[in-house]
Amino acid sequence: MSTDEKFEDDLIYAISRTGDAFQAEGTALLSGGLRRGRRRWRRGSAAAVAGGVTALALVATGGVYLAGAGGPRGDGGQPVTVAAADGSGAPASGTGAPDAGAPGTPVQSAAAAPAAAVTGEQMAGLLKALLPPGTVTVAGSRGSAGTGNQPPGAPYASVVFDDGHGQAAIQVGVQRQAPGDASLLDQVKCPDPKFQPAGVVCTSTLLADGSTLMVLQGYEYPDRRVDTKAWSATLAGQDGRLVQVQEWNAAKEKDAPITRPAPPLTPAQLGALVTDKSWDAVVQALPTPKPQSPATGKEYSAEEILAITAGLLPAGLTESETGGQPGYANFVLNDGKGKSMVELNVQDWSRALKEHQQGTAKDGDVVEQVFAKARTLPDGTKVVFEKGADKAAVWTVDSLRPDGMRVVVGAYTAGGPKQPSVRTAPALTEAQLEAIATSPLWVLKK
Amino acid sequence: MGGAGAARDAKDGEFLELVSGRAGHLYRSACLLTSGDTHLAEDLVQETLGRMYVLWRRSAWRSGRSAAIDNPGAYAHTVMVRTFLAQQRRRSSTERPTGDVPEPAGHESDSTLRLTLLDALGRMPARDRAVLVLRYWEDRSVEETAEVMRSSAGAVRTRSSRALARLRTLLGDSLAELAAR
Repeated sequence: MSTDEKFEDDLIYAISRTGDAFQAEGTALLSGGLRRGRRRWRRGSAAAVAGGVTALALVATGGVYLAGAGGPRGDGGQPVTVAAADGSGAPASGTGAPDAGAPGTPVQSAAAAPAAAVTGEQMAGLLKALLPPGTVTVAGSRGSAGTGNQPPGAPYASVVFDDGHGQAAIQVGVQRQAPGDASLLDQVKCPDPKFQPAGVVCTSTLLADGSTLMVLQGYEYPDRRVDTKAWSATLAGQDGRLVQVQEWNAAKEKDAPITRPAPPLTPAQLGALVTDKSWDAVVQALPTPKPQSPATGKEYSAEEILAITAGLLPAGLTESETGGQPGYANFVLNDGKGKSMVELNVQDWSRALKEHQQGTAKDGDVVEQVFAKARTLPDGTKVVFEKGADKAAVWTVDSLRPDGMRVVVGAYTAGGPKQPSVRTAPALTEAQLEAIATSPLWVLKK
Repeated sequence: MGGAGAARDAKDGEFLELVSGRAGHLYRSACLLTSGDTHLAEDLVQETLGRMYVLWRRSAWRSGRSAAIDNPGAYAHTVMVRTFLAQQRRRSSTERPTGDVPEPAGHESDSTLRLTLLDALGRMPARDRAVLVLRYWEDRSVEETAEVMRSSAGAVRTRSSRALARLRTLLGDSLAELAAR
């Protein structure tokens, strides 16, 4: 081996050892990424848009994550923050602003200066004190103060608990949002059952003091490739607190064998844990973020999409089990031959279309990718029909009008994408899907 | 409300499902790119995931598969490296990220090895670092590296060999000693 080759060989070894040593707090990364993505999406631009720091602070994606992906997950079983927050934040001035468009540190209300910080050890102590008899080993924790030039993060504690029937990982996290913030309440709404695997049980209850408690008995992996159970309780308080505890029937949330049939704490015990008064001190140690700025209104809300679509359905069919988010809605049709879920995206693609026509698409020409094989209607609308499959089969009509209005309508052969087919064809035919997608009732919002 | 508010953002959940398995590896790559500045690395990963989200929502929504993104893992890395390079261009050239090296359990020599390598990477220009990370950590070919960096294969070869030589000068024999295993 030449010395050059030897050096390259050593470098590969060294860079592997170095890279592998970094452990991510996966939940914070994902929630932060989702939050930035949503903001970019709302701005209606896929390109880097330089902008000031917006008044978005600790945000509400932990619950979405829990709903969609079965629970916050760490990386290689490392402890993670339970309640996701912008614990990472942007680098402070010491390292220079990396991107003018990146969000800054959480915006704190000057009027509500936080009380004394809570340490990671105190977080672990609080959790330990609320557990039933058993052995407890602390696996990780973080206090409220933030570290170095990091902004105050969401404090958490992670332990391995054994009540004599097998080790179980338990994590608790506390964060604080603006009181009454919609994103706070989002996190205590039960996830859409149409997208959940069988066996997930969820309750969301309004408590006497005005707070809302959600208890979710789900699985670590949404596809249940491993049957690790992930149970959680989440409390959204009127003071903006979000207290979440999660537990597994394994010593780590991932990559650890199942140690017991179910996690150790019952749903009632989980609920008692997050509603305990001992978290008050932690909540008071956290700054109160300002409320989020409302959406711009340029996108169709789920309600608008559902209302328009309702009028376009064939006679005798009505929407049930509705759901959605801005730009997207879904519902179930039942024509007596089994449930058929329908979902729609209503989007402004005028910019993508312009880039396509000018050949200036930077991040890939999505119009070309989606509509290369499209049929063109007399008015210039491009239409693509496709039969695909998730777990259930789905028929989809994708349409793009000359002004950039894009509407996609898909219909499944089951009541949800993750459910087994209950019928041979969806409740809507190709022609019916196309009629909905190309309806003139969809108007590009300016 | 029409009941739509009764369900959480199912599609966002699908996106997270799609990327959740990749965040850890993205973060490790980001830490190398930033030569151990974990705060900047976290920011970089979040920015990358944010861009991925927009691409994903723009291009498709069916079952989390995107017409624009055949291989989300590789694509995310491409987006991240490009984001990193764009950010570095905007930064003052005199700034250098401060090392923030993790201290996981392990041999002391491992820790020294990491510190030494990160320090040396931190002394190199961003594009050199990106080439080394892509070639020796990501195990990408010269052609793939060129594609990611929007450069030519020839330019990547030249930069790669210069970066290696520079790294060798910075490290001396320390890498060989520390990597003796």
